[in-house]
Formats: sequence, C-alpha cells, structure tokens
Amino acid sequence: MVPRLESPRFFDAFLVRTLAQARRYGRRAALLVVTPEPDENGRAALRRAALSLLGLLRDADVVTLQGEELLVLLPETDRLGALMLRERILRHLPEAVSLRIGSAAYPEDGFDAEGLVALARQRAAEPGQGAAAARELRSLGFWECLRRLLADGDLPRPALSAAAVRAAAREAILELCRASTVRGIAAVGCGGDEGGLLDALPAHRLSGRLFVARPDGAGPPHPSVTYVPVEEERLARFDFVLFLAGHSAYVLVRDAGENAPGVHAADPGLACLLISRFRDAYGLREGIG
Amino acid sequence: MRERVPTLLLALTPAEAGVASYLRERGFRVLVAAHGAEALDMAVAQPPDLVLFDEDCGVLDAESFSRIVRSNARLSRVPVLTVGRDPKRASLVKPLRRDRVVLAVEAALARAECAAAGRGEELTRGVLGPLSIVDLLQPIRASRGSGKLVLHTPVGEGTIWLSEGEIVDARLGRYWGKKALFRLLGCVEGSFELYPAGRPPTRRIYEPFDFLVLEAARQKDELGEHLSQLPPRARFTASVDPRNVPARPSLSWLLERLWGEALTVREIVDALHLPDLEVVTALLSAYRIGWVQLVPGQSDPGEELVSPEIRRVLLRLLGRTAQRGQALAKIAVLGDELDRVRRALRALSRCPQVQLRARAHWGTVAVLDLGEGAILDLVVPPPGEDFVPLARFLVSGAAGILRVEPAEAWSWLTSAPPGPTIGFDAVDPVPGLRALLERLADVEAER
Repeated sequence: MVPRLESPRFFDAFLVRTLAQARRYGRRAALLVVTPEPDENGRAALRRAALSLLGLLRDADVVTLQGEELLVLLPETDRLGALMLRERILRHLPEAVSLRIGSAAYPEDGFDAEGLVALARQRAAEPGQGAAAARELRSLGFWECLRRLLADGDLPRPALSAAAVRAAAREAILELCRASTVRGIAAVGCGGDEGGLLDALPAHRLSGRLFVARPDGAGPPHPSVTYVPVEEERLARFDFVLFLAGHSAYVLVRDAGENAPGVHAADPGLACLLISRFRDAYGLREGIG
Repeated sequence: MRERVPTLLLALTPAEAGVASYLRERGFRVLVAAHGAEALDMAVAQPPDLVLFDEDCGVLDAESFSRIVRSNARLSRVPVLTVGRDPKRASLVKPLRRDRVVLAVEAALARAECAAAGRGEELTRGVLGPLSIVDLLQPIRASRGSGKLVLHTPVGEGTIWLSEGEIVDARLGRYWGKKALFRLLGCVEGSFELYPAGRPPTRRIYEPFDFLVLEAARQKDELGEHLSQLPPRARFTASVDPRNVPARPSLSWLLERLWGEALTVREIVDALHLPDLEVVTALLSAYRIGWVQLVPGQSDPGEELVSPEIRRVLLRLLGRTAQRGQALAKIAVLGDELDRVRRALRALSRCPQVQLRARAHWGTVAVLDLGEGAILDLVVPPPGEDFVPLARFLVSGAAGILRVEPAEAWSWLTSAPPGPTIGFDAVDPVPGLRALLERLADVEAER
C-alpha cells in the first residue's frame, strides 16, 4: 500500500496526535519537509515530486501538500531512520525533479509539532556542508564518491597518519557501543588492518550495526558486525571511517596509497549518502535503514 | 439520643468506600482518610468519636494504629473498630455489611460514652520505618503530654524526653542534649518503646518542638552537603596554636582537639560534644582559612569519588541505555593544551576507578568505572582547526563536559553544549569530576 496525499487539516491533527502518543508512550517520530529548489517552479514541481515521492514512502507514513512544501510524518522513526529515508528519496527521484529535504525528529530536535516543522524547514533551506557536492556524488558509485571527495577542495584536509585513521575508526566503534538508545551505523575500512579495533566491542548485540571492510570478508563473529569482502587493491588505496547516529555523524576518507592528507566532515547528509552508497555497492540490505 | 453529631474517622480500602456515604445518610459526621498514616494525622488534629480502621488501608497496620492512639492522652479513649478478614482479630469482618457496621458503631459509641475515665499507663513498642520518630512524638506534642521515647537504632541506644509537649532532653550513647537529639531524629531504622511517663535528670534542650524538628531536618541535609566537600578518609591537624587565635567557641574547641593530633572527619565529629553540623561547619571554615590542614600523604581522593546515592542516580541515568549489565556514556574533556589535559587525566588516574589508555593521545583516553556495570568514557577531542569535524563528532552526545582552563578553542561548543559543563583544575581534578558527576545526578534526578 502506498500512502496517499492527505489534507493539511488531517495532517496537522495527525501530527499533534502522533507526537502526543510518542511523548506518552516513549516512542519516536520524525518528519520531513520537502521543498523545491529555489529556481524551480515551486508548486508544479512539488506536485510532480509528490507523485514519485509517494511511491518511495512506507505505508505508515503520512504526507500532505501544504503551500509550497510537502510535509511527511514518519511515525515510529528515529533521526537516523529519517536521514536514511531522506537519502533514499533523494537518490531515487527522477532527474527532472530536484528537491531539498530537511528532517527533524522527536525527541532529539524538539517536542512540539510547530518547532519540529520549523526546524525541518530550516534544515531544508540551509545549504549544509558539502551539499553541492552531494547531488553530484549521489549519481556515482561508492569508490568514485571517495575519489571525488579527495579531489574536492571543500572539506577540511587534516594530515592524517594511518594510526590517526585507526584511532578515528576505533572512536566510531566505541561511539556505536555507547549509542545504545540511539541507533547508529558505522562502516570502517583500514586496509584490512584494524589492529585490535574490534576488541572494544562488548559481546552482546548493539542497537547499531558495524560494517568492517576486509579483503577476505571474514573475522571474529559478532551479532552486530558484518564483514564486507572488499577488493584488496581498493582497500590498499582508501581508508575510510563513516559514522552516522541520531546525535552525530562523521566522515573520514584518506588516500592510503599516496599518503596524502585525507578529508573529513561531521555532516549527517554526507555520512548518510556514503553509507548508503557503500551498502548499495556491496548489497548490504540487512539491519538498519 | 445524643445531642451532638458523632464524628467518625474512616480509613478503609477503596472497595469499602461506599460505607462512608451510608454512614453519612445515617446521620454521622464522616471523615475519610486515604491511608493509615493520614488517619493518624487527622485523628491527632481533630480527635474523632470513633475510628473505623481497615487493616489493609495501607501505610500503617491496624495494630500499630491502635497502639499509637492508645498512647495518646487525647485519643486514648477513642474506640477503634478494626476491619479485617480474620474474625479473631478484627472487630468487623470483610466484606462489610452496612447494617452490621451501623450496629457496631452505635454500640461502640455507647460503650465509650459509658466507659469510666482513667486508664493505666501503657507501654507501646514498635518498629521505625512506616513511622518516623517525629510521627511518634507528634501525638504527645499535640496533647501536651509528657513521656519518654526509647530508641534502639543502628547508631546506638537513645532516649528522647518530653515534658508538657516539649522536647526537654535527649541522650544517645555518651552524648546528651541537642547533639544526641539531632542524631536520633535523623534515624529512620530501628525499634522504639514509648513510655507515657518519665523525666530526664536535667533539662538540656529549651527550643520549641517545631523548631527542633525543622532544625534536625535542615542539619541533616546540610551536614551531608558539607561532608561531601571534605575528604572522608584524610586526617586533619591544626596548623595554628589555638591559644594564639581568637575564635568563636566551636572553632577554638576544634583547634584544641586537633592541636598536635591528626583525626579523620568522623573522629573529629565524634570527639566534640557539639551538634554534628556545628563541628563540620567549623572544620570546613578552619580548613578554608588554613587553620586546619590535611596531613600530607593521607589524602585518598579515589575512595569516595562518588557517593552511593550519586552512583545510584547515575546508574539510573545510564540504566536507560543499559544492555545486559553494561551501561556506557561519555564525558568530554576539553582544554587548549593537550598536555594540560593529559596531566589532568594522569592526576585523575590516581583514583582507582579511573584507568588511562596507555597510548591514546585523543579520543577515549580514560575510562571511569563506577561499578555495577556503569562505565563513563572520558573523551578528549583532538585540538586544532583542522580537526573540528572529528572533535564535533567526539563531543556530540556527551553526557557532560570537563573544561581544563583555558579552553578557548572550544568556543564553538559553548553555544549549545551537549550537557552540563564544569571547569576543573589540572593539578587537582578530582573535585571537578566529582562536581560534574553530582551535577549529572542532579539533572537526572530532576527528570
């Protein structure tokens, strides 16, 4: 079943009700605000977008067209889920349609309907770190994305030793262990040499998921870890740490072959994009998102 | 018929609540208490003509209620009808039949009216817990009665004497007067015996009852707060000759006691015959102005990094995220110079609960194990403009922040810090960490 376009009145009432339920029963909820790019013919573009967008939503989501924007309510969805859905929509929309999408989640971003909508609207409007690059990146494969990021001049370029990358990867894994109420997702590739990175993992299942890139695609079994068999020459070329959770995001990419400075950013949009490209590239459909 | 409408006090379970309106219809004035303790309060405030007490009404059992009512001069003649399931123990058996209730009430009121005045002295015993010591004293106070309360508590055997509704003296072990009284009033466990008569050898307490009760509560709170500022195991000694400094009596007694001796806080409090709070306040001010010093080498910062109460609240904070016995959160440690931060963490690692990771310069460089599976990671973000994204990632979601001043590089954080922020000293960081943990516990407790 595909959700249909609801009336704004129904949507408003449903939003208030959903938030009240989330507050009462300790649940989560998120919403997306979808606006056309400023240069587009607003309402017409939105109508076109709404049709393709409806096909991408889940059957429990509620959508309405209100003025110059589409509002999407995602019940029982946390911030990470909203980001992943946003990423999926942006990637699957037809090329003719270009949209900006902002997300906000209860309870991390606010408690009331108005505040959440305003925040999501604001996030849709702001360009965001690396957003210009992101549209282009979306059409590329994972490894091309990494190459493009390294070539791009926008992001900070710290001098990163292999040890520093491993330390950052370790922090991402520790963060995943700590973020046990907020789901998180991390992907690391350190040339197949994690050097005791996984020692920090507790024996039990995490609420997040960890992808570890390895040439052989094998490692000590853990309920929350997926070992991804990655071509050896690619691992030798790139180091990467991708982390995304409700409260933070981090992307680090380094050209291991040239020992050149890497790039990094704390941008949820970029982290989300790269993680979903990584999962697409290796057919990782399990777990979160 | 009686000219006056009799007042009935009912402490029943919700299932029997209909009895109240039935009795009202029958012309009684009916007061309803939510539970046993409320019934006791109401009875003391306004003695009823009869009490109908359900043994399942909560907070207080029928037996203790009757005993306390008996021991109170104003209430001792009020008949108490108990309601229960066992016909041997209760005057009325559940489920209540309304006609029976009315008959029993009428009969009991009649008996009470005819009853001869004058009863013998009774001894009441019981266990503290549902009733505080103040609850036990209140009826005597309200009836302006006299008597003594003998207490068997974990801190020792004690006695509180009342005369005409005022507390006149107290004894606890070798202590007399207010020191004994305040310690006793702080007790919540133990057993008691209440004697309707008894006189202390001398009167040592002259303050009004209500003042003493409030003062005891205030002193208990404040004492806990003051004690948390003093290292519990360290030994103190006087660094000035008490004969050379003019001081108020409590301070000079303290200095005399500590001149040439080294005692722990506990020993000092026990050694002086002043209320505990006065001793600790004197010690704290003497310590701050330098008249009293820690004996070097005795300080043990690690032992009491978190008090059991704070640990309990923190466990609750972490418990929300706990999975199979392990709960994790992080505290960000910020400072402009990594060396200073490292020095602070090295100093912290003197605490047995703190473990440093040997080689890490930034990131999760230390772990604070609070016990019972609760672990706080101490995370140091890397310094420098280039690393702002990584720092942002490491700091976001932190439960709290420790700042080693200066920490100007972290100004981007201060607009919206993820948790409470506490400055701390690189040389002596333990109080800062302790303060942060307490703040976290406060924040959690407010939720």
